[in-house]
Amino acid sequence: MKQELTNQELLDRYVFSVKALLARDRADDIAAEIQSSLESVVEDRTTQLGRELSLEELSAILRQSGHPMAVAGRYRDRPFWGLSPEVLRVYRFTLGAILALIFTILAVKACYVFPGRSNLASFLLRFGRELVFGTVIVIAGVTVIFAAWEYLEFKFRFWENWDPRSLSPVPSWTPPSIPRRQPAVQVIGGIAGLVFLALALFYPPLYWIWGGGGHFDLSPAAYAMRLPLWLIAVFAVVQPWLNYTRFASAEWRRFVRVALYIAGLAVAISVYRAGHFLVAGTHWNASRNAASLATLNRMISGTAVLACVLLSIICIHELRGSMRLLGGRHDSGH
Amino acid sequence: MPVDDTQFENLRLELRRGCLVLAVLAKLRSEYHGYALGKALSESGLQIEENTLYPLLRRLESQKLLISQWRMEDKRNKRFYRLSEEGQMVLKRLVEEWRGINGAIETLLGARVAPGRKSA
Repeated sequence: MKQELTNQELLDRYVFSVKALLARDRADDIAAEIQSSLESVVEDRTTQLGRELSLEELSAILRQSGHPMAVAGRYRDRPFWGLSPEVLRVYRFTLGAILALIFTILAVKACYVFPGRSNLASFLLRFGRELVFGTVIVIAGVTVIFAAWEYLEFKFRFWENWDPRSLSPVPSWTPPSIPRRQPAVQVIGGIAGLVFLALALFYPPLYWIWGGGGHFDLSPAAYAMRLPLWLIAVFAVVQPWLNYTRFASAEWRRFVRVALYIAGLAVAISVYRAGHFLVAGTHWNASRNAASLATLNRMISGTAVLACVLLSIICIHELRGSMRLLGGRHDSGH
Repeated sequence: MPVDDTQFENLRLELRRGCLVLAVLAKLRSEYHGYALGKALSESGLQIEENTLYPLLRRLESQKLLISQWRMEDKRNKRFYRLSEEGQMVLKRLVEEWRGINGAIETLLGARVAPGRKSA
């Protein structure tokens, strides 16, 4: 026999649904506050009516409070492009679902195709190219659709007509949360990345063995850029580490970031202008690998163009922030 | 909703946004928990949705303008907010700014009304 839902269970379901969508490090705190606030509303309404609320009345309060996706979206720190917090959750969910589908299809296809391929490098290049293009097209497509949706002010109707009673019950068992070791992961991952990059830039034959067809080398233009490239990587990796020090909110960090983005932009432009980043090394089997090397160089150039665009956008954003900071100081100085 | 109403609604929200921060900071010179603060603002004539108020309180707290504390009241755990020292200084400056803007707007609106009165 189906058990009747109680007011407390309904409230718990709602708070749990919001909590499940919040950032893990703040979820408990925010959920506790939402629960406390809703209990205050219920208490107030109960006092006014002089009786316990019915399930319908509590559902109306929860509907007025907002769909869990919309509520969780409002606790996001920074706005994401032009999307409002209410739409952001649905956007991320849709994007995640479509990307997961695309990756699954590509992975299945790769497993099917790989056994017939003898050249691992060309297979990896093809797989990587499909992965990058698939991801870019999906992100661009979904973002444009949602931006247009927002711009045209379509409403998510299910948020207006949703029924809190249809929310999933709170599971009786929740998996223990794994403590995050973010600083340690960042530091260890960063050092490993820097060591790998140093070896790859200063001794590429060690890593880039090309399916038995010889190895490739950095072009003269790339050789000339390897030290600045590595130093930029060092600064980029160290930047997030500072979040765990007393310099976490230091104002000068914004200017360091601007300098870093400008340097990155300069390197990305140089890579693009150089035309090719990699050349054939010793024992190179040209007939077997020429096409793959050309594809790899095109991918590096394409990545450089993307990096230029992204770095320009971030740089403009940071510069505007820096100007505001300087402007604020100037104003307060008078 | 007709286009003009939508435009008005956007402008109204824009106008309210800055005022709400000032109102919340002003009210939190005394200590309130979120729900009581919303009610107090509503009673003062400033309706604010809970979904707007709580994220705003968190944002102001992360900017170190507010401090909060979980405490028991009426057998329930509630989070109480109040202005920090930094918040008090910011509020003082914002109030000065508000009075300046308000005075200027009143002058502008007065200047707009005055010729009409003359012609009447």
